[in-house]
Amino acid sequence: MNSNPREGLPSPELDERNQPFVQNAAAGVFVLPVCTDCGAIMAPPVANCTTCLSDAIEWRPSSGTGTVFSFIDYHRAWVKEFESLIPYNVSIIEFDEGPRMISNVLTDGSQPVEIGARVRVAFETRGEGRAVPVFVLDNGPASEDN
Amino acid sequence: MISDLNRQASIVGVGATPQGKVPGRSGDDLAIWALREALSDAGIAAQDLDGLIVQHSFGGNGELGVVGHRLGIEPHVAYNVAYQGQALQIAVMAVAAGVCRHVALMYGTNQRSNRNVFGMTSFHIGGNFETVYGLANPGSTAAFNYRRRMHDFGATEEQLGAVAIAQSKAAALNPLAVYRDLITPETYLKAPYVIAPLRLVDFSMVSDGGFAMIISDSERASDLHKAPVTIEAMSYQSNFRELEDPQAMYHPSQVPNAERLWSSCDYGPSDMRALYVQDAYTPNVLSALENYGFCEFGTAHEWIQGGRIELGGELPVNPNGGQNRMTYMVGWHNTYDAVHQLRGTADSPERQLADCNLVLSTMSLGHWQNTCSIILGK
Repeated sequence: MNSNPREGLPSPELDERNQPFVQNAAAGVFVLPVCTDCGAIMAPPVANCTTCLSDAIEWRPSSGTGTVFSFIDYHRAWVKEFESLIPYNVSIIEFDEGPRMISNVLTDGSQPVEIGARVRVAFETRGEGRAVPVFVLDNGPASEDN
Repeated sequence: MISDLNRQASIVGVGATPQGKVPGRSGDDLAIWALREALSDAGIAAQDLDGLIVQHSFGGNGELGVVGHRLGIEPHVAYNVAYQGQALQIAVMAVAAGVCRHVALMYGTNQRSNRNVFGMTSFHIGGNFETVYGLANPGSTAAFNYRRRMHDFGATEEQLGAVAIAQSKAAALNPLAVYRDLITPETYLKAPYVIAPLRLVDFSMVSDGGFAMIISDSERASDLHKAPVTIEAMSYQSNFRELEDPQAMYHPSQVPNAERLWSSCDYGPSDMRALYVQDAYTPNVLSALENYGFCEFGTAHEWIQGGRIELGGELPVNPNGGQNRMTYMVGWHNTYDAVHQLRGTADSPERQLADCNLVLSTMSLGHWQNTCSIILGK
């Protein structure tokens, strides 16, 4: 993926709600927060379990696959670093494990982003030693759920 | 029970300032200006108030202690709130319980003259993840919503235009409205995208202005105003789950809110002469029409076609032009207009709804998280 147009995009600030997520991303590993008390799987950032309020959260490697739940395209850059990418995609990704997260779906333009499209995780460098998960359209073998 | 509050409280005074660009006045100046008008409308003085509710406002305005000091009063009940729904809840409960006789509710903002850019969204994501992914502006929620509607129910961009078109026709007749020009199907589709699929004319404008009202015990209301407006029924609901809610795309807090509202009174959607929706973004009108039972879920984008929600239509929505075209006053402008419609004193005769006896007004904080709906009657 040509990362040039996306150079200079914001770097994530680390705090206890997202640190394992971002650090794993730098190593190319996608993790999701899981409550070890009740088993609820959430999407980051997470401070406590939103089902049982426990703070016993573990970050577990996950498939990084899912579908586009909804998406929008910005024609105005409130976030200045995105100005040269207008119009740019922001999507709600629904992971196969259940939780949903906001991210970007990156495409080369040959295929439109659509609700229900399968996506898989990719990792995008953001600043020195930092990376964040983003998503790309996944044209792999059709899954039974499709 | 929520029905215990029905008809206990009445709106006996309302006040408004000019709207749009009102330079040289702070948000507090505008709120107090509106309160002076409301007190005059109710025929009482600030010293008669034993309840004060002030909504927080852009740029540090709307602080209870600051505004209260400027009013020079000693109320029993005093609150700072985040939106009109909270103000109404407290005022109605205080009056119904006999804790207060006269409650002032007030909101004023100078966010247009002071250039509020609305960078934040309505999500509570945490950290700087919004910035990381370029998510910004509360309109993102409505844009996600309409995109989902297009997929789930085949809604088209052209169909959404009917909301802005209807609002523009009402605003054209409203001397208080900021935008008085008409939108047509052609100009709608030519309007530039801001957050696709939403266009510039799908967004509320930003404005300065103030609104205030006085709520009193219904038994005493006709002593104060010859045409008091009764708060017939009221319902509130919060849902903080955001993307964790299965129905995240369709304003889920409105559904139990509507169920409780209709089951707590003898009215139904067909009794409502008009519907007011806090339409920061035009898709909000569609959610409200469905969730409050005016049409079936998944059909509002078709139901609104053919002028149905225009002033002369089956169900006028926002006869004042709404936030879309009249003013960005987070629902306060709707209560103000509803009171005048019910009194028969809409400032422009062409905008006055005939036989206006009951209206429903729904308001929200954060799009999906907090909802309040009220039925006003005379």
